Amino acid sequence: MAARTLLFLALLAPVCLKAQPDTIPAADEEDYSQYDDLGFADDKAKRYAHPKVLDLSPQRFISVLWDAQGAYTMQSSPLGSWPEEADAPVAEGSRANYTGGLRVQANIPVVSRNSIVWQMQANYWDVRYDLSPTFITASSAGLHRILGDRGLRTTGLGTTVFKPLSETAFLILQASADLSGDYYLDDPQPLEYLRYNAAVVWGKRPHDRLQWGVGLSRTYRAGAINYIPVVMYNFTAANRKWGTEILFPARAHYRRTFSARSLLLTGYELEGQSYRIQGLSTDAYSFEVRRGELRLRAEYQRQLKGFIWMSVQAGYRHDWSFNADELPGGDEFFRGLFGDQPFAMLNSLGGAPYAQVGIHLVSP
Amino acid sequence: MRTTLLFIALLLLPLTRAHAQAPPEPGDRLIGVWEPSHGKARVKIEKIGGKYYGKIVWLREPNDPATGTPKVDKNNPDESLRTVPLRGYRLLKDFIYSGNNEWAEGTIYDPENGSTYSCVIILKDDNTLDIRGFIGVKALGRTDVWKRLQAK
Amino acid sequence: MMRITLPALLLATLSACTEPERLVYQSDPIPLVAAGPLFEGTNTAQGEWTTGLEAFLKAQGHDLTQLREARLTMAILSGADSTGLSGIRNASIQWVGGDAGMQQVAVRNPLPPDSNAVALTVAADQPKLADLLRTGTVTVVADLDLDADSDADRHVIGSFTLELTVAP
Repeated sequence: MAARTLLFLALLAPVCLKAQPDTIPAADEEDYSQYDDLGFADDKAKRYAHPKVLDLSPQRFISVLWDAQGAYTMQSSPLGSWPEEADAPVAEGSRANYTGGLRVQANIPVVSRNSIVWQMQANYWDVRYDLSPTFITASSAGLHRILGDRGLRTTGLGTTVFKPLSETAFLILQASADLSGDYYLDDPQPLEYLRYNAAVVWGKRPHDRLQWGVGLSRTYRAGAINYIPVVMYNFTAANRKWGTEILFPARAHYRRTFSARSLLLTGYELEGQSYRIQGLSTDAYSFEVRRGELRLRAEYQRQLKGFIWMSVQAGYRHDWSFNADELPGGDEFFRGLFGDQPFAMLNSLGGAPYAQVGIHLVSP
Repeated sequence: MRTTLLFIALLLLPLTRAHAQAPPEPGDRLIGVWEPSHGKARVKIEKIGGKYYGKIVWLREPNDPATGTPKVDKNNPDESLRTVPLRGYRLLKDFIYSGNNEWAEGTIYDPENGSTYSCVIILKDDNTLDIRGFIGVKALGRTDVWKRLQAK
Repeated sequence: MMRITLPALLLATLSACTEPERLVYQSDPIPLVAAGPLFEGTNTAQGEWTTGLEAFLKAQGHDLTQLREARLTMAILSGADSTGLSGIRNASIQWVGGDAGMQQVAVRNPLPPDSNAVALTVAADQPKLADLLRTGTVTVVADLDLDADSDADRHVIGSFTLELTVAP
């Protein structure tokens, strides 16, 4: 009964306000002080935590990037059973003259409202190697030739849900599946080799310039499957000139905001996937290179026109892991950060400078 | 010269006076004062020349903390318009009632970063609006819920 | 009827048949009124401006379809009566017309005190101004930020100088 009375009064509200429906309207009364003392027409208004904070680098809907690394050396052991710290003999060594390729990413909102944001991501990364062998022994498995001929691909699909729990608290749920290997798009590897990542973060957004969260994630970023805690800390200083964008340990950046249209990020990101090499796999075993890279970099982002932005990134790629495992039946096993199961092949890559340029459709 | 100008002004005055009110149109239900979900501003929607416009009439923080003066549109991509005060700023522009509780073909401006988004407004009920700002296609956007305000 | 001030400038070009012509067009003073009661804060003043561009261009030997570009080079806000511009803290001007969306064309914040006519800062970006002017009638909307309440209407006058580019 009370609700109906309230609704009736609410319906009267537009009539009570001084509206001017003329086509050549007179000017409106503009007593700004009258706007201090207003209440909601009905009392169902609810406030939700906003998914972003002020001055965060723009969210990218569609990105096209080119990634390229400078020269470095690559060395591989023979196939065998090697503990990580073993002093394995080097079966083949090459100089990587060029390593790089195209990265295409899309991040499209399915539902985007105050009360929930649900987005789907898709990405396709292609890396080609231009390798010059420096030496090769009979015990080499031939990984370098495969990398040089075929390169590596990763195709992924993911989903992220941002659910505000109240005006200041929120929950983020993320899940993705990646297919990584030396396959070509017209002959992809079987879906049983999909690798899964997931994360859940609970956080608070006490005011417009701070958003923090803690959570747990299952990730391949360090090169193999790991279950690690996650810390999120997006902060903007009161003078609006700098801030942080941290999703530890995956990435952390310090941001310098020059204007509403340009900014500089400096920090690092951990990248990683598990790539199945078809030529070295058998029906019984899946040979997978556990790639993990630490990229230290500075990235400059700038608006080109409207919602099209460009980014230029330059930095140093440190090889965290490039060792390979043979997975019986293609099934994952958990080594984690502290496990000591041996690798099937030990590979080491020298560090290299790298650069990445991209063009993006963004929503600031 | 001034007398001539005044004379002309007085002659043309009757043309600009408000005439008798036309019967209310369905599109006019948008008219009123609304509050976006962030609660940092209040927007008054009015009709000018057959289209609907929304201007900021109240700011929770009316002054720029850095300068202590009333906030201005300092992120406008056009530098010569960066002195326009935010209180009174027309955030919503050029909306046309397209039937079915929907107003389309308008734009919404975000003073935080100077971006102008395409926008559609849907009246969910007499006191609730879904304001969807988007880039290009409606999928690439975000819906904000605005609630109607009235004198207490 | 419509007193059109003929321009003082006409850019002469060597090959007039391929070079676009630039004309200067001065609008008549446009009365803008904010109907009272008015309150402290921004109040909307409006006026209808029948541009008379078609007649002006015809007098120059062109027609409206040849109008390629229009640029606002000067916008002046002046008082229309004894109150002049007193009590107006700042002003911004928008144009609306036809299908073209509302465009912010000029602003002055703050208005210099004790002046009866001020030149406003004209917007650097002026997209589609020609489209707006081609409609023939422009609604000029002036947001005047007043420092005090007032029961009476407020009258001001806007006058605009345009640089028109006509294709041959």
